[in-house]
Amino acid sequence: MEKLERGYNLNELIVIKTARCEDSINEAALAGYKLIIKKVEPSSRIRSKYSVVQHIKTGQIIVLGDFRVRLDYDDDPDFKTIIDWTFYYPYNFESPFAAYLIPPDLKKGERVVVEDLIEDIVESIWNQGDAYRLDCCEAIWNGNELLIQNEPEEGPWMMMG
Amino acid sequence: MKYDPINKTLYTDKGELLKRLFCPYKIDWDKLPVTSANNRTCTTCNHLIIDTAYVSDDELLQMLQQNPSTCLKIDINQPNVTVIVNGKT
Repeated sequence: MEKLERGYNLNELIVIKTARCEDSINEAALAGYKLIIKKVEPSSRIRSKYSVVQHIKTGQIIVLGDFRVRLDYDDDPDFKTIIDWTFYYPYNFESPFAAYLIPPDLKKGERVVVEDLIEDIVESIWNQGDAYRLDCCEAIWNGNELLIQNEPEEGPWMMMG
Repeated sequence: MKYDPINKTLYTDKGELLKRLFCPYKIDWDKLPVTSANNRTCTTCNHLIIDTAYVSDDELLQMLQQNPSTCLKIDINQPNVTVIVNGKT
Protein backbone atom coordinates (compact mmCIF):
# COMPACT_ATOMS: atom_id res chain seq x y z
CA MET A 1 0.00 0.00 0.00
CA GLU A 2 2.54 2.48 -1.25
CA LYS A 3 0.23 5.49 -1.11
CA LEU A 4 -0.91 5.04 2.45
CA GLU A 5 2.50 4.01 3.74
CA ARG A 6 3.77 7.45 2.83
CA GLY A 7 2.28 8.68 6.09
CA TYR A 8 -1.21 9.62 5.01
CA ASN A 9 -3.06 6.96 7.02
CA LEU A 10 -2.69 9.03 10.15
CA ASN A 11 -5.57 7.43 11.99
CA GLU A 12 -3.76 4.11 11.58
CA LEU A 13 -6.87 2.49 10.22
CA ILE A 14 -6.67 -1.00 8.80
CA VAL A 15 -6.08 -0.77 5.06
CA ILE A 16 -8.36 -2.94 2.95
CA LYS A 17 -6.60 -4.08 -0.18
CA THR A 18 -8.23 -4.94 -3.47
CA ALA A 19 -7.29 -7.88 -5.66
CA ARG A 20 -8.08 -7.36 -9.32
CA CYS A 21 -7.36 -10.73 -10.94
CA GLU A 22 -8.17 -14.40 -10.41
CA ASP A 23 -4.66 -15.32 -9.24
CA SER A 24 -4.39 -12.58 -6.64
CA ILE A 25 -7.90 -13.29 -5.36
CA ASN A 26 -7.08 -16.98 -4.94
CA GLU A 27 -3.80 -16.13 -3.23
CA ALA A 28 -5.70 -14.03 -0.72
CA ALA A 29 -8.27 -16.78 -0.16
CA LEU A 30 -5.47 -19.22 0.66
CA ALA A 31 -3.95 -16.64 3.01
CA GLY A 32 -7.19 -16.59 5.01
CA TYR A 33 -8.81 -13.37 3.85
CA LYS A 34 -12.58 -13.12 3.54
CA LEU A 35 -13.40 -12.07 0.00
CA ILE A 36 -15.99 -9.52 -1.03
CA ILE A 37 -16.14 -10.18 -4.76
CA LYS A 38 -17.79 -7.57 -6.96
CA LYS A 39 -18.30 -6.82 -10.63
CA VAL A 40 -16.27 -3.96 -12.04
CA GLU A 41 -19.04 -1.92 -13.61
CA PRO A 42 -18.43 1.47 -15.21
CA SER A 43 -20.88 4.11 -14.09
CA SER A 44 -22.54 6.12 -16.84
CA ARG A 45 -22.18 9.16 -14.58
CA ILE A 46 -18.39 9.05 -14.78
CA ARG A 47 -17.00 10.60 -17.91
CA SER A 48 -14.27 12.71 -19.38
CA LYS A 49 -14.13 14.49 -22.70
CA TYR A 50 -11.68 14.98 -25.51
CA SER A 51 -11.41 16.67 -28.85
CA VAL A 52 -8.84 16.10 -31.60
CA VAL A 53 -7.47 18.89 -33.74
CA GLN A 54 -5.05 18.41 -36.63
CA HIS A 55 -2.42 20.65 -38.15
CA ILE A 56 -3.41 21.04 -41.77
CA LYS A 57 0.20 20.98 -43.08
CA THR A 58 2.03 18.45 -40.88
CA GLY A 59 -0.94 16.17 -40.24
CA GLN A 60 0.01 15.92 -36.57
CA ILE A 61 -2.82 15.85 -34.09
CA ILE A 62 -3.34 17.34 -30.64
CA VAL A 63 -5.73 15.80 -28.13
CA LEU A 64 -7.49 18.36 -25.97
CA GLY A 65 -9.40 17.97 -22.74
CA ASP A 66 -10.27 21.52 -21.79
CA PHE A 67 -12.77 23.82 -23.52
CA ARG A 68 -10.53 26.80 -22.79
CA VAL A 69 -7.63 25.39 -24.80
CA ARG A 70 -9.75 24.54 -27.85
CA LEU A 71 -10.62 28.21 -28.22
CA ASP A 72 -6.98 28.86 -29.21
CA TYR A 73 -7.17 26.26 -31.99
CA ASP A 74 -10.60 27.41 -33.18
CA ASP A 75 -8.98 30.76 -34.00
CA ASP A 76 -5.90 29.21 -35.63
CA PRO A 77 -6.24 28.74 -39.41
CA ASP A 78 -3.47 26.09 -39.35
CA PHE A 79 -5.65 23.69 -37.36
CA LYS A 80 -8.92 21.95 -38.10
CA THR A 81 -11.13 19.97 -35.75
CA ILE A 82 -11.11 16.26 -36.57
CA ILE A 83 -13.15 14.99 -33.62
CA ASP A 84 -15.43 17.43 -31.84
CA TRP A 85 -15.94 17.24 -28.08
CA THR A 86 -16.77 13.66 -27.18
CA PHE A 87 -17.40 12.21 -23.74
CA TYR A 88 -16.03 8.77 -22.87
CA TYR A 89 -15.36 6.52 -19.88
CA PRO A 90 -11.74 7.34 -19.04
CA TYR A 91 -10.66 4.51 -16.72
CA ASN A 92 -9.31 1.09 -17.68
CA PHE A 93 -9.59 -2.03 -15.58
CA GLU A 94 -8.25 -5.27 -17.03
CA SER A 95 -10.48 -7.60 -15.05
CA PRO A 96 -14.30 -7.29 -15.05
CA PHE A 97 -14.36 -8.38 -11.39
CA ALA A 98 -12.34 -7.66 -8.28
CA ALA A 99 -12.38 -8.45 -4.59
CA TYR A 100 -11.91 -6.60 -1.35
CA LEU A 101 -9.65 -8.60 0.95
CA ILE A 102 -11.11 -8.55 4.44
CA PRO A 103 -8.75 -9.62 7.24
CA PRO A 104 -10.35 -12.51 9.15
CA ASP A 105 -10.07 -10.66 12.46
CA LEU A 106 -11.71 -7.42 11.27
CA LYS A 107 -14.30 -6.42 13.85
CA LYS A 108 -17.87 -5.50 12.93
CA GLY A 109 -18.23 -1.71 13.03
CA GLU A 110 -14.52 -1.07 12.48
CA ARG A 111 -13.53 1.91 10.36
CA VAL A 112 -11.03 1.11 7.60
CA VAL A 113 -9.35 2.68 4.59
CA VAL A 114 -10.22 1.18 1.20
CA GLU A 115 -7.17 1.89 -0.94
CA ASP A 116 -8.61 0.92 -4.33
CA LEU A 117 -12.39 1.18 -4.65
CA ILE A 118 -14.12 -1.34 -6.92
CA GLU A 119 -17.38 0.59 -7.13
CA ASP A 120 -17.61 3.57 -9.44
CA ILE A 121 -18.45 6.48 -7.16
CA VAL A 122 -18.32 10.05 -8.38
CA GLU A 123 -15.68 11.98 -6.47
CA SER A 124 -16.08 15.30 -8.20
CA ILE A 125 -17.85 16.97 -11.07
CA TRP A 126 -16.17 19.65 -13.14
CA ASN A 127 -18.34 22.42 -14.54
CA GLN A 128 -17.16 21.47 -18.05
CA GLY A 129 -19.19 18.26 -17.70
CA ASP A 130 -16.47 15.81 -16.66
CA ALA A 131 -17.05 13.60 -13.62
CA TYR A 132 -14.20 11.72 -11.97
CA ARG A 133 -14.23 8.58 -9.85
CA LEU A 134 -13.27 8.20 -6.23
CA ASP A 135 -10.29 5.87 -5.91
CA CYS A 136 -9.67 5.70 -2.16
CA CYS A 137 -11.76 6.43 0.91
CA GLU A 138 -12.72 5.32 4.36
CA ALA A 139 -15.41 2.70 4.98
CA ILE A 140 -17.07 0.87 7.86
CA TRP A 141 -17.17 -2.93 7.98
CA ASN A 142 -20.66 -4.08 9.02
CA GLY A 143 -19.78 -7.75 9.10
CA ASN A 144 -20.95 -8.39 5.55
CA GLU A 145 -20.13 -5.31 3.50
CA LEU A 146 -17.91 -2.28 3.45
CA LEU A 147 -20.07 0.80 3.90
CA ILE A 148 -18.31 3.50 1.91
CA GLN A 149 -18.00 6.79 3.78
CA ASN A 150 -18.02 9.51 1.16
CA GLU A 151 -19.82 12.77 0.67
CA PRO A 152 -20.12 13.48 -3.06
CA GLU A 153 -18.63 16.79 -4.04
CA GLU A 154 -19.71 19.18 -6.72
CA GLY A 155 -18.03 22.39 -7.90
CA PRO A 156 -16.17 24.60 -7.44
CA TRP A 157 -13.81 21.82 -8.40
CA MET A 158 -10.81 21.61 -6.14
CA MET A 159 -8.13 19.01 -5.53
CA MET A 160 -5.54 18.78 -2.81
CA GLY A 161 -2.73 16.38 -2.16
CA MET B 1 0.71 24.16 -15.55
CA LYS B 2 -1.24 21.16 -16.80
CA TYR B 3 -3.37 18.80 -14.78
CA ASP B 4 -4.45 15.28 -15.67
CA PRO B 5 -7.53 14.62 -13.48
CA ILE B 6 -7.72 10.93 -14.38
CA ASN B 7 -4.24 10.22 -13.07
CA LYS B 8 -4.37 13.15 -10.63
CA THR B 9 -1.01 14.33 -11.85
CA LEU B 10 0.24 17.89 -12.23
CA TYR B 11 2.85 18.89 -14.82
CA THR B 12 4.54 22.10 -15.79
CA ASP B 13 3.53 23.66 -19.10
CA LYS B 14 6.71 22.08 -20.52
CA GLY B 15 5.52 18.63 -19.43
CA GLU B 16 7.80 18.15 -16.41
CA LEU B 17 6.22 16.11 -13.63
CA LEU B 18 5.39 18.23 -10.61
CA LYS B 19 3.41 15.87 -8.41
CA ARG B 20 0.79 13.16 -8.33
CA LEU B 21 -1.86 14.46 -5.96
CA PHE B 22 -3.17 12.12 -3.32
CA CYS B 23 -5.09 12.82 -0.14
CA PRO B 24 -7.45 10.36 1.54
CA TYR B 25 -8.99 13.06 3.70
CA LYS B 26 -11.85 15.37 2.93
CA ILE B 27 -10.06 18.62 3.56
CA ASP B 28 -12.00 21.88 3.41
CA TRP B 29 -9.56 24.52 2.16
CA ASP B 30 -11.66 27.34 3.56
CA LYS B 31 -11.39 25.93 7.08
CA LEU B 32 -7.60 25.52 7.08
CA PRO B 33 -5.43 27.99 9.00
CA VAL B 34 -3.69 30.54 6.77
CA THR B 35 0.09 30.12 6.92
CA SER B 36 1.02 32.94 4.56
CA ALA B 37 -0.67 34.89 1.81
CA ASN B 38 -1.33 31.91 -0.46
CA ASN B 39 -0.49 28.93 1.69
CA ARG B 40 -2.28 27.01 4.39
CA THR B 41 -1.42 24.23 6.79
CA CYS B 42 -3.31 20.95 6.84
CA THR B 43 -4.93 20.43 10.23
CA THR B 44 -4.88 16.68 9.68
CA CYS B 45 -1.26 16.05 8.74
CA ASN B 46 0.45 19.42 9.25
CA HIS B 47 1.73 19.53 5.67
CA LEU B 48 2.08 22.92 4.06
CA ILE B 49 -0.45 23.32 1.23
CA ILE B 50 0.47 25.66 -1.62
CA ASP B 51 -2.26 27.36 -3.60
CA THR B 52 -1.02 26.75 -7.15
CA ALA B 53 -3.05 29.67 -8.50
CA TYR B 54 -0.39 32.07 -7.27
CA VAL B 55 2.89 30.37 -8.18
CA SER B 56 4.73 29.85 -11.44
CA ASP B 57 5.77 26.46 -12.78
CA ASP B 58 9.42 27.13 -11.94
CA GLU B 59 8.63 28.26 -8.39
CA LEU B 60 6.52 25.17 -7.83
CA LEU B 61 9.16 22.85 -9.27
CA GLN B 62 11.74 24.37 -6.94
CA MET B 63 9.44 24.11 -3.89
CA LEU B 64 8.70 20.45 -4.59
CA GLN B 65 12.35 19.61 -5.17
CA GLN B 66 13.20 21.16 -1.79
CA ASN B 67 10.28 19.53 0.00
CA PRO B 68 8.55 16.72 -1.93
CA SER B 69 5.92 16.25 0.79
CA THR B 70 4.52 19.74 0.21
CA CYS B 71 0.86 19.46 -0.71
CA LEU B 72 -0.80 21.41 -3.47
CA LYS B 73 -4.23 22.88 -3.96
CA ILE B 74 -5.62 23.16 -7.46
CA ASP B 75 -8.90 24.48 -8.73
CA ILE B 76 -8.99 23.27 -12.32
CA ASN B 77 -10.81 26.41 -13.36
CA GLN B 78 -7.96 28.61 -12.21
CA PRO B 79 -6.42 30.58 -15.12
CA ASN B 80 -2.92 29.07 -14.92
CA VAL B 81 -4.11 25.44 -15.18
CA THR B 82 -5.29 23.59 -18.25
CA VAL B 83 -6.67 20.09 -18.19
CA ILE B 84 -5.02 17.42 -20.28
CA VAL B 85 -6.12 13.98 -21.37
CA ASN B 86 -4.03 11.04 -20.10
CA GLY B 87 -0.82 13.01 -19.77
CA LYS B 88 -1.07 14.57 -23.23
CA THR B 89 -1.77 18.21 -24.02
